[in-house]
Amino acid sequence: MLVVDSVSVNYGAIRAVQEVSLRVEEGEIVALLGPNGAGKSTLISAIAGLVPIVSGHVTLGDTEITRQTPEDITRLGVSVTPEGRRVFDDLTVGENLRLGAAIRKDKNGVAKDLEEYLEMFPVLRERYDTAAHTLSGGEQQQLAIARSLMSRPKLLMLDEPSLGLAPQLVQQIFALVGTLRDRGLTLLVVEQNAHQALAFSDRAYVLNTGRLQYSGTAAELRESDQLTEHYLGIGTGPPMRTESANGTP
Amino acid sequence: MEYFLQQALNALSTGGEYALLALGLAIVFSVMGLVNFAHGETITIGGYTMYALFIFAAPTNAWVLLPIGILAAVAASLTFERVAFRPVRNAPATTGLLTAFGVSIIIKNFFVTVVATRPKAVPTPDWLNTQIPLGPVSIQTLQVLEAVVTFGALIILLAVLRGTTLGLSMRAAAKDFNTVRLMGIRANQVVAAAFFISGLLAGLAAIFIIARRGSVDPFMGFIPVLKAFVAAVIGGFGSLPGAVIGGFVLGITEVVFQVILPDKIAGYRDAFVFTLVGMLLIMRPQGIYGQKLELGEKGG
Repeated sequence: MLVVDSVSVNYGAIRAVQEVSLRVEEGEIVALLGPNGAGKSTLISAIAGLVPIVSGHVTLGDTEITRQTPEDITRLGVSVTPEGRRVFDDLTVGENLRLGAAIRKDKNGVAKDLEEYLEMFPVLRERYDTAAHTLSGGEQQQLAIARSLMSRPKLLMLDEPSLGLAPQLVQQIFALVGTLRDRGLTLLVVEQNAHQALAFSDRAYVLNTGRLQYSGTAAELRESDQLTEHYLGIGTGPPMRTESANGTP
Repeated sequence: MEYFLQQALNALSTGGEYALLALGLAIVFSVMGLVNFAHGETITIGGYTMYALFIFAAPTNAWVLLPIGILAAVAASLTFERVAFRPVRNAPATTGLLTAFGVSIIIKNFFVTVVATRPKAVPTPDWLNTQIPLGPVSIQTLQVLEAVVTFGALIILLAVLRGTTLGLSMRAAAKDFNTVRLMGIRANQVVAAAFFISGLLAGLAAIFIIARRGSVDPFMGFIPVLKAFVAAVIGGFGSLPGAVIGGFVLGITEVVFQVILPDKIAGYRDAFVFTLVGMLLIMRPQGIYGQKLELGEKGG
């Protein structure tokens, strides 16, 4: 579905992503792992069209999207839940969701989806008319994901969905990712929290200092302790992460 | 008492005019971070169009002519965006500011060259300057209209900003343009909408400015845009409710100083007003309604 072919991206004056290639097949959950500053978010921004691609190609199905605008890429069916959630602070929960569906013309479909996601995220129904900035981090993350889903994407890119969330919430978000896949969505998930991410993904790519270091099935990566320690920097994160790492087989 | 009432009405209508002007600046600033100093020239273009219409199509009803003048201001605003501001949208803020000054200089000199430097009298319709007796005081139709139009424009604008997807996009873009684009909403459309509204407000303001002065000249946009800028700063730059509040605060302050200053130093009114504004900004640098900017953000 998504093919990234030896893509290089600059972040300011620095080459943040160096000739990275990856693919995401329809119905897959692919994790993009690596330590802080590895270039994961930059790559996601570049695929979404927010950051210019210096060289290489990105194709979505049969369409080349390398130099398309973020607007057009979204309209082609790619949605991003950006790092730091980026909900529209001053707007209410309902208004945020409405903007998520801004490109859709099927009013009935939008109403139906809205009802469905309010069912899936009950807290959003509770807080429907309150400004998004009053929500907690976890609630904002749910809002950001629901907002992305409102455009009915084919491919959803989640950028660090677990960042700053309490462990139970992280579990909840990752469980959701599985649910979404079961409903036919394809997902590319950026995570620093490698063990958690490997628990729910099919395949993974590991980035380090802008280069692709490893790729393989999640099972392979899980078994390779040395690899995870070496490339993912596990053990250097906050205690929460180490604990959860121990709990994962 | 009558004097007081009369001045209160003056303060309200002056405030209304400033609010209208500040709103025009604020809407563009909130969406694209541009302080559009060419806003004054949008007013000038609206003004000259009305002048031309009143000269050449005089027998026609003003209710037909004035909207055409407003449309001219809207067209000018949209043209400035397309031709001048869009190419520098992603450039540093200073570039946009200089571009605005450039547009402003070009338009002023266009009118100097093509029409004249001297003011041209505009035969404003009588009904705009009619005094309506209202108990012990009298009020000008112009003042009533100004207040009504400002509040009307404000209510319509709020309805658009709260009720329509485009309006919601504009509010969201004020904080985070990139994420708005990630929703598939076209950046060009959102920016054009801001300039459309800005042009509309400039056109409305042009009517009132002309009605007060009774003339147009190439530099007529300068004072209004300056007042708008000050009003927007008082309210908190980029905040729309702030712009309205700032407009009224500035208008009311001006009238208050006009009233309380002895004749000898009345000429220094603006100095007193701006001193007060300065003090306000020292106490509250973000303006009345503004939020403190959070600087710096993490990138991946």
